[in-house]
Amino acid sequence: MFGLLAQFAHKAEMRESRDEMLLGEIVRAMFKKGHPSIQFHAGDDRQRVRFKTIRDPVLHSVTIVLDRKTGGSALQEAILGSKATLRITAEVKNYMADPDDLLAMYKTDLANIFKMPAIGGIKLNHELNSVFATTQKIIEINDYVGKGDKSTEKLEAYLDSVIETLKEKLAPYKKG
Amino acid sequence: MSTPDLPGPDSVVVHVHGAGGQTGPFSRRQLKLRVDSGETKPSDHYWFDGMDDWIAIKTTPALLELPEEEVAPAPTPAATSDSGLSEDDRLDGVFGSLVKKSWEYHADHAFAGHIDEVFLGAIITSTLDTGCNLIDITSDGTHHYLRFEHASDQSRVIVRFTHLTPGLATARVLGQKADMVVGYGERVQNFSKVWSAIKAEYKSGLLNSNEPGTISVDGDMSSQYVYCQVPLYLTIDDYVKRSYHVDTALLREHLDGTLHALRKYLRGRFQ
Repeated sequence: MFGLLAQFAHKAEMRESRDEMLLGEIVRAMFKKGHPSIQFHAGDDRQRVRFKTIRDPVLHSVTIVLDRKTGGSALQEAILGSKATLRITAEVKNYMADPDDLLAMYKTDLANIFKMPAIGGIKLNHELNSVFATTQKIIEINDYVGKGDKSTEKLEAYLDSVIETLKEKLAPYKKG
Repeated sequence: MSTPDLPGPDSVVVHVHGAGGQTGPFSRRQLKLRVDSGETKPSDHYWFDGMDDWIAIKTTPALLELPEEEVAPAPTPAATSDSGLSEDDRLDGVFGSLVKKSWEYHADHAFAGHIDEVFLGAIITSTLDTGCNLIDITSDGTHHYLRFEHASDQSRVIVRFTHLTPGLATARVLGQKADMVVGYGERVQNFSKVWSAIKAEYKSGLLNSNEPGTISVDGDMSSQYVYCQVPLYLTIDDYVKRSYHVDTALLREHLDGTLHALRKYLRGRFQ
């Protein structure tokens, strides 16, 4: 009896930990690409990790926010799957900013005000020395964890593709 | 063996290994001054991120060859006109170098503040590479808590980690220190063993000690896991270099050694 209960408890915990499992795989994938983590904020259902893109000539950092939406209970997982929103923000940093940049920021931000990163679009945002590009997608967590090398490769390809797209958007804003 | 391009003269990324042990990182300019003063010997070895192995300084003369104007003190107005630069360009260059130096200082402070998060990422990567999944993470930026579960045998690893020296000045004096508790857990089928672990946990509480090397026991009645854990103090600089290079082999060895000891203790007492 205890064996059965223990098995049930274990499965419940693993199901509840799907988002943490995905976060771990993201940290590992980024570390192996040469992008170490430099900031963690992790709570119950929302995790935010910032990575430093050390040798990238354009990007300064990438921030990934994982926000679990469904799948916390067995019923939810059975009906809706384990869905989460993955918000990825890439940052270009320039080492000088002046009032002309403030004007450029205003124009870019105005042009982007109605863009919705939630539906896969890319939103640009200026903050003095930094320009950020953000996209957000709803993903099925189970597509990226728990299937060994297959899911790891899928996750790596997904991150590569999104970061490359954000980088292309930001490249024109990199000075020098 | 591939050798990447040499870093810029002011990039503080070159590590040196000589008779007195490892020093650095230095910029190539700083390294040249050290070699000129005899503080570093040409026979000492150097390494920076991207190199496969350490190489003797004397085998790479280009390492210490800096463009003439970068070695010399600030140019005089006469020298400026010889170089063909206008006064306007020269002063722009002076301002640019001041901004660059300021960013280097800024980057040093930032690194001192987030070296623990680099280390945390290395722990996650290293543990996942052994077949574990991350099943719990809590972090407020200074205190970090991780829990892993091995995919095949369901054994668990827990890590509690606090960065003790987040400021640059403190870190330069003491080194980058962290207070870390590493734990190892297994599910115990015999209920009485879990109960005895909980009694041991109570006794562990009586020890009331955070002194390193003190093994304590913890039992979780609901999941039937028993954990053994030990507090340690680590020097993060041993694992994470200023260039953000992480010595994953050393980290893996230290984690393996600690978990091996805890596993042996746990199985001796509770299995």
